[in-house]
Amino acid sequence: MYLTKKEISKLIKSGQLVIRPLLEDSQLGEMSLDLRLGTDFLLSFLGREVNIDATGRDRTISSFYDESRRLVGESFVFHPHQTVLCSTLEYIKLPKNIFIALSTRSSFSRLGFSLSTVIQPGYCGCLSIELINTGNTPVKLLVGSRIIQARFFKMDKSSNYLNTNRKYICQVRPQISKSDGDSDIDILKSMID
Amino acid sequence: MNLQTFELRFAQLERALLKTRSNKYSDKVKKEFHDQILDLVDQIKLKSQKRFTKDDIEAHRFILKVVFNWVEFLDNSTINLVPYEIINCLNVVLKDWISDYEDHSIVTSLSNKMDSYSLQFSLKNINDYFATQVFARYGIVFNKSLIQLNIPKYLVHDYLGNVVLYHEIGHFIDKQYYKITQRIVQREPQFSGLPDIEKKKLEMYLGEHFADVFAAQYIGLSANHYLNYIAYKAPSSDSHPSTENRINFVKDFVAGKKSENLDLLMNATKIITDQDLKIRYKKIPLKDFNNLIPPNIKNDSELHSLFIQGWSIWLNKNSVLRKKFSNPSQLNTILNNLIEKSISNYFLLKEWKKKNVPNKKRNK
Ligand SMILES: [Zn+2]
Repeated sequence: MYLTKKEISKLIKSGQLVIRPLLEDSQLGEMSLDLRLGTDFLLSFLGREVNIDATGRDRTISSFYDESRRLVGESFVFHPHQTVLCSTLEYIKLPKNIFIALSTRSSFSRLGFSLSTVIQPGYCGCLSIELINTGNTPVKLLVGSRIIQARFFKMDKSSNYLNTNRKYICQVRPQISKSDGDSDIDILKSMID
Repeated sequence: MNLQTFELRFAQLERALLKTRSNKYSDKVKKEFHDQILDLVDQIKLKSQKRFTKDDIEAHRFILKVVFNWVEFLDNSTINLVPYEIINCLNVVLKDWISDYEDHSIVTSLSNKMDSYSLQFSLKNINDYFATQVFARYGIVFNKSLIQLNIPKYLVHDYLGNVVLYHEIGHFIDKQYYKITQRIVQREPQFSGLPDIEKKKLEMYLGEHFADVFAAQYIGLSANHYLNYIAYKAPSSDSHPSTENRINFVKDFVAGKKSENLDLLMNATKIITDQDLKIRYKKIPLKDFNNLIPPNIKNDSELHSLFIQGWSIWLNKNSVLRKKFSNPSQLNTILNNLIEKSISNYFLLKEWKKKNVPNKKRNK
């Protein structure tokens, strides 16, 4: 079930849904909540490795990213086709029966950004997002600007995010993919041994 | 020393500066400072160094020494590198103690060594000589000052370890700004008969106790826990009292107990700074931490208590979070993240309220 402004406000007021900081009430629209671009970035660059190995054979994914920080109000340049991992300025804690779907706000989609991802029920932390400028010109964005839109969905049953062994918990800056940390990677690899 | 070796150092400085020209800083003081350094170096460059006398070389050798040190700290204090959350907390402390805090900027140099927290002193006579030379030769006045802290590179985002920085700011307030412990040793009649070497030692000891107590005003016993690990059972040395003594001194202060030396420090501080050494934190409830949410901070005294509560969760085997997360590394990351976000939200919201004009029309 899709949540409306009234239902989302109710969750915020009761403390079941936590958003910190919520700089402006107007971030909450009729059908969605606007989220802001955070201050920390991980930038992909061309290093000495020939490819990112996500098969779990070595743990070098981090060597493909450079960390960079900004202050709120500073700008950040997204170069064409560069993968930028960033996070929302807001730290969010979701109720156990609510998940959210993230997309870029339409004005930013029109600039060439696209994003579509789902955040699981019970999640807590700043949301890690990967932004790629798919256009051909660099785009400068202000840190703290509202670029993401979150829509809230209610499930019939609760899930417990914390009970499973989560890869990402209480994060406050973007996280490098832990795709090589999935436990089934070992099983997959053992199939041809 | 001759002209050629001076030229070598100047070339090294120019090369170091070249890399820093596009540095971005989190405050105006650092930017201004950097610009003044560039200006000074440009002017030195314009001088015909070939005609430098021995005196000129000597003076410039000294100028470059000071400047190079500043460059090291500034270059380590760009937005990408500086741990500005903890620095913002320390700025709040500065405001409590000095009225011209806007003329100072805390800069950090990231050290490769573990536990190498320290305040780099700049002695007044050195500063005066530098100021005289630079003004006489180039008409440049540096009227801001840098507070130089060394921080271990690996602990930049470690908020339990970084409580030690409150102690280092204590040294700045005492030794560099007000010279509290120096004045105690010089003026108190009971010390007048001591030989100079004993006086020096006493001053060092009182200096450490002062910095410990100064920190405890804001972070309670937090630094004690850490000290008792990194300097476990350390006996007294020429510069430091024994760890046991230091720990007990702070315990007495926090518990409101009296002792001779503590009284001495408290009275002198009151007379010299017109400020009291007193508990300045207010503990926030653990509820938000336990719910894995960055605590909402309402004021400065609550801000400092983040470190105290972080430590209390960490030390308590039965704390809610200890029970929830059996892996210490994971718990450590979680605490660091919650504290960092809580600090940054506090300062962001403050700034936002200041700048936000309610009636401003925005495009939807
Ligand atoms: Zn010390």
